[in-house]
Amino acid sequence: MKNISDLEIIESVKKGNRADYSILVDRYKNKAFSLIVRMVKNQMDAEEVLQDCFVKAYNSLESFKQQAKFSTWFYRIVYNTALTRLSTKKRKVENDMSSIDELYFLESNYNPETTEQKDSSQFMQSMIEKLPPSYSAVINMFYLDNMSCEEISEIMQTSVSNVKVMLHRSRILLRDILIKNNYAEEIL
Amino acid sequence: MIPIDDETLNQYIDGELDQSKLNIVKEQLINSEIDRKRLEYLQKVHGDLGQLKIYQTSANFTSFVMSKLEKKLKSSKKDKIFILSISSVFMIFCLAIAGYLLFNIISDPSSTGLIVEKTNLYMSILMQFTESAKEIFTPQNISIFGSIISFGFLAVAYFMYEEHKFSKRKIEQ
Repeated sequence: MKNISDLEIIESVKKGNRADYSILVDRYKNKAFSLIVRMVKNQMDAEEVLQDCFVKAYNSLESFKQQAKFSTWFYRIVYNTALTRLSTKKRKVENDMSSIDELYFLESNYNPETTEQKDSSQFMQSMIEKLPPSYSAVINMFYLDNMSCEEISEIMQTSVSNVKVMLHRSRILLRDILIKNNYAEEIL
Repeated sequence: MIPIDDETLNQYIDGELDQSKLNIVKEQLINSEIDRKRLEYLQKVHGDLGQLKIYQTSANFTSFVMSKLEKKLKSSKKDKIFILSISSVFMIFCLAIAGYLLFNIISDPSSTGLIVEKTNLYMSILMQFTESAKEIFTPQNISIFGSIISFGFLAVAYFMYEEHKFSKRKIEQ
């Protein structure tokens, strides 16, 4: 099963083997779920959004052009559906190219005294969860899904340079938070 | 010595610097401890980000998605059958009327003249109606009618949208 390509599965589903779609679901569910959790910041909502994404993708399989990668096409659905969920819930959706000052709310929000002491890696994981949706989406796709900036830009429908800016800003921000919270000694 | 900016450090990590810039950065890193530390912090962040946690969906997620798809397909099939049956009934009704008229014409040749007469009568009624419609639908009246109808459509669309949202919520619950 693992050796079957996405395109072969899609062809099979189009031919009427509906059950084969479950292979695609199994293949992408956890990574897509991680992306949505990091965007909507809630696992219950994320699972609902992911279900919608798979249903939407199934209904649009006919319009899927086989020149593109299925993962890119599917992640675009995931990203847009997560954004829609955020906007319907009237949560704050960060502008892709928002000012760096806006990102620094994380620093001001973090209070080391009220947070249990963690090692730097655990601490960073918790800070990533607090990044604005578009930034955490970039981080997730770049590091977890090993996507290139070009692919990410295609999914987010923004320029490659914007993606790079978001990626670099996130790294710098996380580094500065680490230093400010005295994790510098641990790092070195 | 001017410190290396963060953007350059990020490009260094991503391997995006050209050879000449790379040499300058490498040299500066040898000579500046501050820059070296800044790079090490950034590399640590880069390394930790590479170990991002993968969240797991619930155990029965796939089967739930597949059953949801099954349900949707069944309901769309039902919709298709409903539309098909309604249109079939309508078609049969039309065919029955057409058949009845044809049967009358064929069975009674004298009725052809009557049909022509009746057609002329209906045409004259239609002409009269058109004439009176011309008086009613002046440019001024059209804009008033248009506004009223548009308002009506908007109101209906709004209530339909609300009703759709309500029923969707109900189904999801």
